[in-house]
Amino acid sequence: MSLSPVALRAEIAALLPRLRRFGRSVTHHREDADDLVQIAVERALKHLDQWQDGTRLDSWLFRIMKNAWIDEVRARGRRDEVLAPEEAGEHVGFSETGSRDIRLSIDKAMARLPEEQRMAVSLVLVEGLPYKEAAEVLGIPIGTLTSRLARGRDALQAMLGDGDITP
Amino acid sequence: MTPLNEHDRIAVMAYVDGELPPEDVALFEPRLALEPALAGAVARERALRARLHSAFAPVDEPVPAALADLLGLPEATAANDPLPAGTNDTARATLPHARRWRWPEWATMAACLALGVVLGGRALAPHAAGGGDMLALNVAPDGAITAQGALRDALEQHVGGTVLDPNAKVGVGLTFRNHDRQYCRTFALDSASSGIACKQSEGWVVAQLEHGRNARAGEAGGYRTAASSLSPTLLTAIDAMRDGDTLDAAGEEAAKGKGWKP
Repeated sequence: MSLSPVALRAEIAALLPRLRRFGRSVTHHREDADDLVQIAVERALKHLDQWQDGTRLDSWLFRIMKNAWIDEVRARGRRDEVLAPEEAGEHVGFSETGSRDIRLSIDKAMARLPEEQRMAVSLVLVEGLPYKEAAEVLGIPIGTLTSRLARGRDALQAMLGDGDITP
Repeated sequence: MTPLNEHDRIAVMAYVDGELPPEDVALFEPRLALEPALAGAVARERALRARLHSAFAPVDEPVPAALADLLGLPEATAANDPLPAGTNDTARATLPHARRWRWPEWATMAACLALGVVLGGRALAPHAAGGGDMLALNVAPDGAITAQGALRDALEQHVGGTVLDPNAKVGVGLTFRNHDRQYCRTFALDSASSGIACKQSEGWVVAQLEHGRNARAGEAGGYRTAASSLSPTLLTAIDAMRDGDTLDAAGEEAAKGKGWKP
């Protein structure tokens, strides 16, 4: 039994806020993030038959986004350097709710993580994916995922300062 | 503070992420009381998790026109009104499967529910009124479906397969706990929908919904024992969701006594 394309489309629409959040985490740029989501959704809609019912639709879309981003970064090559993380962090503002001070410092800390660690942290700690799902999204073994997660978290803790952790 | 060795470092992380196997948790937890370094690491990881969660909200801004076109979202709506889905992010993130309901029979309910998902309550008032399932299910602006009226009452009240009202249009079947330790119950509506709802702070949130050929309500009391009358889709969903066995009547009574709180 599989979902009709109409139903899938509606489910994808409902996932948009999370896809866009992941996009910002990956690209550190609002427009780039939305372009990435656009590309991923286009690809997904073109290959709806490849999504297997019973598997997570969000994971599938995250994986498509990750692959699309790798393609994009390759295509840009050196001609158009990806924004330096320190600078890029300033471009990303999240919703108006919550404490801006806390958010900005985390934004910057996240922006300074190496991309592979940032993706792992983002998928598990922000998007809440189980390790297994996150590893599949990234196309890596679970051991690699946990090691990236550990390094990413250590780096975040170090940047945020131990005494500064409690919000 | 002495740094943890690599093994413990990974264990702390997995523990906080809920990824440590139960047998390892049983070994790990007693150590927390004895090893301050370990307990401190757990506290720091928890704080980091919480902080990341609250810092990064889903993007509820107006959907770019090209993207709205692609998904068939009405552009005017998309441009003026951000999609509200995902506003309750904490619940969503900690309950990754809670809102992943499926609609094998999409078309039947589309008029009532699809707009609620796509437009997030803009085209459809949050408290949808109408016939049949509309009275039992409420679609929130973020697309979450919660039980209303007779269904909500049944989920709250029915235990041990008892039927409070012989004319009940609603049946409640199996009860189990999901991986977040929430109580979840299968239900069937007279209108031939069936599904699974889990008790969360906002009420009974529908985690799975099925409409049509496989679903049946019939006599509500018979539903519980006839687990075989549950559709394969629902049975599969229960297996994926449940953490432990289904509850017996005494277990249901006890859970009810706690208000179905985890």
